[in-house]
Formats: sequence, C-alpha cells, structure tokens
Amino acid sequence: MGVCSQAEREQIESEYFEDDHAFQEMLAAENDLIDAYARGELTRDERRRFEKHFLTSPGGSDRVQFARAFAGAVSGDVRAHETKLRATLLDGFREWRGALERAAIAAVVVLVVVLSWQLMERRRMNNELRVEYSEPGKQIESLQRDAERTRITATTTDPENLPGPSDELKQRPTNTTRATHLPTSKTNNRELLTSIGREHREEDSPRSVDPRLGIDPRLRSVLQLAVDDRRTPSLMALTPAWIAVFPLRSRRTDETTITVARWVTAIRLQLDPETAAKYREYRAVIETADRRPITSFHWAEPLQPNHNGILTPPVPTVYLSSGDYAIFVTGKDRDGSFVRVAEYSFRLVRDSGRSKSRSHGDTGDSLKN
Amino acid sequence: MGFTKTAAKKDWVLTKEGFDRFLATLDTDRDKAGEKYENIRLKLLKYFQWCGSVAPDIDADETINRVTRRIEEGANVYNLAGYIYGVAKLVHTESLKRRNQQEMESGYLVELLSTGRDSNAAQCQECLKRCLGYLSDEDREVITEYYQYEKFEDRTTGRKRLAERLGVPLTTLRVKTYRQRLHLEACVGECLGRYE
Repeated sequence: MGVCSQAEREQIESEYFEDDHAFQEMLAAENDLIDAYARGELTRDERRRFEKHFLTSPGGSDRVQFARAFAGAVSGDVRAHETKLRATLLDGFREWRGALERAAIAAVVVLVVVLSWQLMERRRMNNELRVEYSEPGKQIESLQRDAERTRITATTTDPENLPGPSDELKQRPTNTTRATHLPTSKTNNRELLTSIGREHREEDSPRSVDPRLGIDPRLRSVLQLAVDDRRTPSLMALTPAWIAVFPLRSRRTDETTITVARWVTAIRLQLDPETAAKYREYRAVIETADRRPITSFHWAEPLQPNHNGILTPPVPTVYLSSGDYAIFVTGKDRDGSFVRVAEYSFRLVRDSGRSKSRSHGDTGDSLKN
Repeated sequence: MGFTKTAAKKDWVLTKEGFDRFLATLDTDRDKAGEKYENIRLKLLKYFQWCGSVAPDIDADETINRVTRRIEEGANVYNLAGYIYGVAKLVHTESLKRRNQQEMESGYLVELLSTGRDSNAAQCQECLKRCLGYLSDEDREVITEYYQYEKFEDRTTGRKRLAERLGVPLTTLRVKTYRQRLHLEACVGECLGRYE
C-alpha cells in the first residue's frame, strides 16, 4: 500500500525471500487486505492506496471480485438467512396447495394487467400515428372542397355579388385580381397541395434517422419514431435496451464530450486506432481521470477489408456517471502478447432531460439498437 | 553482501544445462529442486506485483535468467535467496527506468489488463458455489468458518478458536486456508472463462 519506508520495505522483502514461513504470512495478509477492501472495512485513504497499488496490478481486480463473491458466500448473515429460508420453505411445503393457488391467481392477475396495458399503449400509439398522418390529408380535402365551392360560385354568381378583394388586391386590375385570388386552375391546386404537404413534413414529422448509419430499413421506421421525443417513453417501454455509439478521435478530454441520455442503457465506442495494425482480439480498460479502473473487457474483432475502425462491445451505462474517463486498448499479437493500440480521453455527461445522445467535436449522432 | 552488476547480456540464452545447474543449486533431489524453483518464482512474482511492476512474470523470469547465467559462469553464491532478492531489486530498478522513458499510459495499459474479463458478479457467485461444492465437507466447513467473520475483532478471535478446535497452530491454519482459497480462485477463474 506504499505506507512503509524504503528500509522497512527492504527488511520485509529480504525476510520473506529467505523465510518461506514469512512469505506465507505475507500471502495470507494480502488476502486479508483484499477481503477488507471487498467488505468496505478500509478507511478512505487506505481504499485509495489499495486501488492505486493493488487494483492496477495484473489480476488485482479479479481477486477483488472473487473476494466480494466469497464474502457473500461465507458470511454469517448469508448462513442465517439460509437457515431461516429453509424453515420458511418447510412451512410453505406443508401448505403448498394454498400457496400454489394463491401464486397462480396472482400470476394471472399480473398477466392480465400487463396485457391490458400493452394493448392500451399500442392503441394509443396507433391513434397518434393515425392522427399524425391524416392531418395533411384532411387539410388537402378541405382546401379542395373550398376550391370547388369557390369555383362553382365564381361561375354561377353575379360577379357584382362576389366578396370584394382585399385592400392589397384592390391595387391590381380587376380582371387579373379574380384570377390570382381564386384557385381556379388545376396547376394552382397542385401547387397549393404540394406546399401544404411540404410544410407538414417539415414541421410535424420526426427528424430522420441518418441513412448513413446503414440501419435495416425495417428497423428504420421504428427508430424514426424513437427519435421524436413524444414517442420515446412509449417505445422505451417496449424496447429491451438502447445502445448509443460514439466515435472517439482525440486524446484530449476537453475535445470529446459524450452526452448520454437517461434512457440509454449502454454505450459503444467507435475508435480510430493510432496504428494501422489489425488484430483479431482486443482488450480495453476504461478508467476515471484519477486512474481508477471502472471496467475492463475483451472481444474478438472480425478482420474485414477496408475496415479501420474498432467498435467496442456495449458498456452498461450504470458503470459510468458524469466525469472524465480514459479508455486504453490493446490488441493481441501473434505471439499472444498484447500490444498497445489506442488510448482516448473523453468527458461523459449524463443527460437527465429527454434529449438525444450526442457527441461533440465529431461526426454527430449515432443511435443503434 | 556485495553484488556485481548482473546486467542482461543480449547474446546469452537459457539452456537446459544452465537450468539444470540452477536446479542443482537449489537441491540435489530434482523433485525437491522443482518445488523450490516454483516457490522462488512465486516469491519473485509477488515481489514484482507488490512493487507495482507492469509485467511481473517477465521480470521474474528475467531475474531467474540472470541468476542462472551467473551460476553457469561459475559464480559462487552462498546465500541464494539473498542473491536472488538483490538481482530482483536490480531488475525492478531497470524496469522502472524503462517505463519512465516510455509513455506511462502504455505500461499502465499492459498492467491493467489481467484477464480482460468484464465478469458478471452473478456468474462469479454461480462459479464460486460450484467450486465450493468440489471441496470436501470438512475443507468447505473450515474455509467457510475461517473467512466468514465480517468484523476484524471477530475474525481474529474466531480464527484462533477454529485453530484450537482443529488442534493446529494458527499459522498452519492460515497457510492451509490460503492454499484452498488459491485453488478456489483458480477454479472460479476457469469457470468464468467458460462464460466467454
């Protein structure tokens, strides 16, 4: 943990190199230290030292994970809970018929509630969609009726009884006023209908999912709706997970900021490696700005021609609160060793609002499921 | 004890004869020599790990190579453990210098990646349960009782009581449970590897 002086340290090291018994004591002490960390028994300063000196060592984080699992498996509370559970189960077994019946009824009720809710949601969404896409149709129909009515009126009514032109139009010659004021020709009808349709698309349609993403067209319609904030909460209830992809280019934290919406459950990082070498297997570690490891993972990357980017596996956003991070990537060489491939820094901001996930300083939004 | 600088010579390679001579220095019985060699290597591994080395296995092997070379060259080593420790310190110092010259992040990157697994805690629990099942009832009971205490005071008194009940010194109990835990860790590691 870096607490001993150099002389003390050498004394201890010399001792365990010469005495096997002392070495076993050191190993047992190491285990106790790991257990203490896993159980949260260290002070803040001790924890920081432990994380700095031990978690960064090869196998350190694995041993801590084992210690946590082990503590849970052997703790007295767990055993007491198991004993209690056993007694409860025995009682339950005696009354198993009643319990089964109650459980079955409860399951049916839950199922009915869930199905009803699903149906209601679907109906509401369908209604919204119907309204959304019927609006321009209704407007066009209304205009057509008006146009037809006006045309009939213009041909059958005494011109003297027609409503007078507006003040602006009074400036113009009478014979041309009627022609411009009233939509009498098919061409004018078509132009009006086209302009109304265009206005509707621009104002009310969801923003498009970027076709460059290469998303399956069958999915695109779903994603189109998801991009619109009004529909996102409903769709989120039906969709199991939302994964956002962010490209990383820079080593400087202040140059890359990732804003992750609250409903994004995992992120994938698209990396532009600093070397031209390609590997079949990669490892990566994400750590905080103060070198605290957050998570590590490895994956196989299929080699494709003209494919230079690296896309990490999904990283659950539960691991990532707002802050500065760095990701270090290595690739597996032919001799089995791992060599440095890339490293990046980024700032992550957890967005509590309903905005889309976005990254600044690079190519814009990516949304993939 | 004074040391002449045992630097790595690029033209020297470890040969079977050299390694055999090193083993013979440890013990005349080859099996026992092998055990002592494993013990020394573990000590070196732990030494470099605890020193914060980015590649403790490489440093440990380098240390053994240098010691083996010196013995092969005919050096009389009276206190082998002390000599090995001295060489290890030298290797660590050189390694630190090299690391400081390279980018800190590269070395840190290599040392951070252990298994590279982002293991699920639930999978770890499942594997641990399975591995505990492989132990004998007695061993499982002993190791469970040894590690169950949450508070430090309870742990100290509880382990003493357990050692007394088993009729062994506390240090013996500590060593035994440490080895069992190592086996468990290895078992869990292997089990988790199957999930990948």
